[in-house]
Amino acid sequence: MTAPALPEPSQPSPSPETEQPALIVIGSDDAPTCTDGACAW
Amino acid sequence: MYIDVWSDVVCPWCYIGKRRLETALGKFEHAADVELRWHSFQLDASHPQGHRAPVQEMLAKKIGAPPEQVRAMTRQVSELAAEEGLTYDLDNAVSVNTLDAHRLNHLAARHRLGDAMHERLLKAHLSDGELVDDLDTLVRLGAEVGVPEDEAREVLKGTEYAAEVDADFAEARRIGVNGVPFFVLNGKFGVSGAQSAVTFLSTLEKAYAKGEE
Repeated sequence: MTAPALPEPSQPSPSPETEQPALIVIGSDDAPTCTDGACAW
Repeated sequence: MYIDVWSDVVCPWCYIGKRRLETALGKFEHAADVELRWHSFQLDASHPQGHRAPVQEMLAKKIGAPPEQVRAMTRQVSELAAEEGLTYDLDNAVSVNTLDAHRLNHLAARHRLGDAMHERLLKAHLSDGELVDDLDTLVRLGAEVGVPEDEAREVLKGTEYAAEVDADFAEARRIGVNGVPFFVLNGKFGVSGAQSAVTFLSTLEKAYAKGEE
């Protein structure tokens, strides 16, 4: 007699963070910004 | 339509980016439907509160460059600012911790004065040589744009809105913002840095069209 098959593990629900679509970033990569403590002077 | 903007009041590119966005909005057919929401991003949250240093001196120390090289760098950004109609005076700008300025900006936003307040704070630091960590200065700057003086003083004496400043920074990190200015249109389109007005306008049009779908 074979043991009954174990139920498939349920998939974890995606967190709100992973549900949110990534931003579509527009524009050139070299537009000047300031980052932590330093600016593209 | 809404635009979320992460910025610091001591960020020279943020003021330039703000002007370029405004130029684009001036040409955007649906500008009246656009709401700007300013979010806090402290470029140097570790800057000790109460510590003040001339920007030129702070930069020289940070990048290990001689004063003449620092002056050349700040002159260059000032020239670009001038192209947008802004008068920078970085020789007299003073580097400070910006937490209280951001807390004031959150209070102003509650009065629907967030954009005017951010504009005034940027100008205060980058053009007017104001101390944007000084209680009386902040209360005065707030009053200039319509924030009730008593309320501003009470908020600034305490810690109100510090959690909102932290939350803005955490949200920036969560969506991958590493530098400012950073603009998010309708939660879908990101624009990093002081892009050209042409780029802002085309992104406004894309975001609006996407929102209409």
